Amino acid sequence: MIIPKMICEHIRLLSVSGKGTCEELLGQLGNYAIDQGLAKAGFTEGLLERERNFPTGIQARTGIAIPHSEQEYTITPTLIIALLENKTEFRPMGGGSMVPVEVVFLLLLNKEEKQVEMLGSIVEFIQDEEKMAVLKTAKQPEELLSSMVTYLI
Amino acid sequence: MKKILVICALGYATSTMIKKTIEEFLREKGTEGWYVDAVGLNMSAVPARDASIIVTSLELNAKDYTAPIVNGISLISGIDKEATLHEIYELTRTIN
Repeated sequence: MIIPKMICEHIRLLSVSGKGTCEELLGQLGNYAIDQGLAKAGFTEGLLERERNFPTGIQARTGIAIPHSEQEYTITPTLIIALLENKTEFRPMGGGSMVPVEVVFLLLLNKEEKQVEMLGSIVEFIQDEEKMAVLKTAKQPEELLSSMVTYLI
Repeated sequence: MKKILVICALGYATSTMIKKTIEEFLREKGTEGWYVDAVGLNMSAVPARDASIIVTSLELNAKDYTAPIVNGISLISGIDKEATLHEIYELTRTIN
């Protein structure tokens, strides 16, 4: 089940139960993006294939994942952040042990050159314990997140 | 100039980020005679041939490369980042 916590242009902060596999979760999130008119049909399959070939689980202080798909599926560039009530295991980027993921940053981008900046801001974000703590409580994260929007559009 | 080649899935975001971090670090260390390049996996065969060090966000098979391979994930996650940078630094000092 997906519960929206904050919705604004280019950012969706969602709470998701996260019980189940990585594939089930990506299926849920991908279909959410399509239902919301943010992504085109085929996005979910693209997402799953990409994750299969190049897994994106990252063990930072908090386990995170940054799944994404080809840009051709993007309708509205959006950062979908899913806070998982239950940790979901993702395969690790770069090998090693499975990553118990708490926060998923799903990227819907439409400009290649924006990828670096967006990833940069996510990396900075996940390395900042205070920001991550505010995000995880989902209480007034608007300010934190709106600073990321500039990297999307 | 000797080359550090960063390899990620597509050669856009992750490798470019890692490249920037290494460049900044080498500048701070005053390391000269090295440059950093970023590339996607399927384009990596040719540029890997004359690379002296490979840094990657992927699980690469060491047999496919002649250069030593450094796992660059820490430069994304922030965990053990210093150790990875130190590893790269030591390699730049020992490779002639």
